[in-house]
Amino acid sequence: MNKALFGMNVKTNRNIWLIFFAILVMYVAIIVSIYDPSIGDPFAALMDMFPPELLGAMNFTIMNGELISFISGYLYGFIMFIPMIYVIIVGNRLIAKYVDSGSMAYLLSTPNKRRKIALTQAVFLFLSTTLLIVVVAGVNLLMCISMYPGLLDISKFIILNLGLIGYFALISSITFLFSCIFNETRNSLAFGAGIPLLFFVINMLRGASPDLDFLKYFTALSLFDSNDWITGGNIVWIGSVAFFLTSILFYTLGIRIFIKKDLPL
Amino acid sequence: MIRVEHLTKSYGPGKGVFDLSFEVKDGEIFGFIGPNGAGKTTTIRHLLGFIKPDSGLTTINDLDSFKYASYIQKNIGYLPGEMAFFDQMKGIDFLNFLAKMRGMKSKAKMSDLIEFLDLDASGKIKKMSKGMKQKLGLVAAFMHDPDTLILDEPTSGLDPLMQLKFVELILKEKKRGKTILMSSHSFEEIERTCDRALIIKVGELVALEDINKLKEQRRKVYSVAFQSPEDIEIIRNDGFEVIERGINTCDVVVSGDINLFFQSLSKCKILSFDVLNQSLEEIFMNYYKERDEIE
Repeated sequence: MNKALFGMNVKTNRNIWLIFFAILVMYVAIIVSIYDPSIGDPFAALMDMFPPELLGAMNFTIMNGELISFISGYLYGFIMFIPMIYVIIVGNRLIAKYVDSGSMAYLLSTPNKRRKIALTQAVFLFLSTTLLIVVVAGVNLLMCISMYPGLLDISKFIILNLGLIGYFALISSITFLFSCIFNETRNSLAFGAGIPLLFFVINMLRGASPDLDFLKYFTALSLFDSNDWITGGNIVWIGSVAFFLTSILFYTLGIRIFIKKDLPL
Repeated sequence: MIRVEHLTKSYGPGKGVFDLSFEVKDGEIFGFIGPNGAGKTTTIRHLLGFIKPDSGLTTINDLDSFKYASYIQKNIGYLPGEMAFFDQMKGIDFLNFLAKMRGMKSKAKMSDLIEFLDLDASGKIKKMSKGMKQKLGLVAAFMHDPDTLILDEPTSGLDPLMQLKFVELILKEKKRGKTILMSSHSFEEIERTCDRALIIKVGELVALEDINKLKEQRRKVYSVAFQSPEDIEIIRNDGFEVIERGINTCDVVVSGDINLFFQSLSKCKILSFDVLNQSLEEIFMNYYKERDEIE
C-alpha cells in the first residue's frame, strides 16, 4: 500500500463517490419513508397496474408485509446495484486509464514496486465500493430505526448488506482484472463493464419470465437474490464462499498480470 | 552506468529493436539519435523496466532494469517522450505528489528548478501549454537529484530560449557527475551537449561515435548565389561537390574542414549565402555513405 497514491485516489474519485452516495440516499429515503407498517406495501396497488414481467425483471418482489422484506424487494433487487456504474468507472480508471494515457509511467518511475501500486489500486477500489454500500446501509438503518422503531429485523438487514458487499467484491474484482489485462481503456471497458452489465441484464431477463429460469446459470447474480438472502438457507453460505473466493482470485490474478506484463509507457 | 547488451524486442519486421548493444559510462552525456519509430523509445522503456526484452539484457548500475525496476528508480530521473500527467491536478500538486511517492525529504531542488526553468506550476495541468508541460516534466525528472537521467526528447515543445536553458541545466548536472542518456531527433541539440552519440535506424545501430568525430564527418550544404558562372568553376575546381540550382546559383556540399571552403569562396564574388538545414534523414544517409566509402 502506498499512502500518497491512495490519497490521490481519494481526491480524484471523491466527487463521483459523493454523487453515487447522494443518488442512493435519495432512493433509500423515498422508499423507506413510503413504507406503512399498517398496510405493509403501499405500492402494491400501484404495482398491480404493471405487467408482472416488468416487475419480475426489476426484481420488485415483496414476500410479505415486513419492513425487511419491503426493503429487500424495492431496494436490494434493483436500486442498490446502481453503484455498479461507480465500480466500472473507477475500476477502469485506477489502472487501464493511467496505462492508456501514459501517466502510469510517472507512478512506476518512483521507487515503488508494481505490486505495491496495483495492490493500492485494488484496495482502494474494494474499500471505496464497500464504504459506499456500508454508509448507504447506515443511513437506511438509521431511518428505519427512527421512523419504525423495533420493526426492522436488524440481523437480516446486516446479512443482506454483507451479501451485497460480497457481490460487489466480485464485480469490482472482475473490473479490476480487465483493467490490469488491457492497455487500452476501450478493451478494458468492453469486458470490465460488459461482464457486470451482462450479469445484470441476464438476471432481468430471467426475472421477466419463468421460461427463462435456465439463465440463472449464466449470471453471478443468481447467488445474490435479496429475498433468498433474508430468508436464509444454503444460498447465503454458498454465495458468501463463492464471492469471497472468486474476488480474491480475480484481484490477485489482476495484480500478478500487471506485475508481469509489458507496459507501453 | 547504463548498459544495453544485445537487446532485441520485436514488434514485427522492422519494428522494435534488434541486437542493440551500447554502454553509457558514469558521468557521460550520451545522445541517442534516430528518426521517429527507430526504436529509441522502445530502448528507453527497457531501461525503465516497463517492458521485458525478447532477448538480451539492459542494466543500470549493473542491476537488471526489469527485475529491479523499483530499486533502480531511486536513482533515475525520467522524462517521458509523451507528456501524460494527471490532468486534473495542479502542476504543484503533481510535483508534491511525486515527491511523496519518492519519499523525498528536501524540496529545495524542486523549488530551484521551478525558478530556473521559469515554471508556473500553480495552474491545472490540463490548461498548460505544451512548453509549460515539458518544463513540468523536466522538474519532475531532476527534482530528486538522481545519479542517472533518462530523457526522451527533452527539448520538444520548448522555445529556443528554454532550449538553451535546458542545455545549461544538463551541462551543470554533468559537472556534478551525473550520467545522462537523452534521445533526440535534433542533431544540433546532441552536438551541443553530448560526449558520444549513437545513431539508430529501424531498430539497429548505425553508428556509435564520439561527437567530435561525428561533427567532422558531417557534411554541410550551403546555397550560394555567385555573380558569374566562372565563380562556380572555381569552387568546382577546388574539389567541392556542386549541384547547380539555377542561374549562377548552386548548392555546395562541404565535408571536413570548413576553412578550405571559405578560402575558395574568398576568390569569388558572392551575392547571397545560405546554410541549408539538412534533415536528420539526410544526415543519416550521408553518414552511412561516408562510412561505406571509408571502408
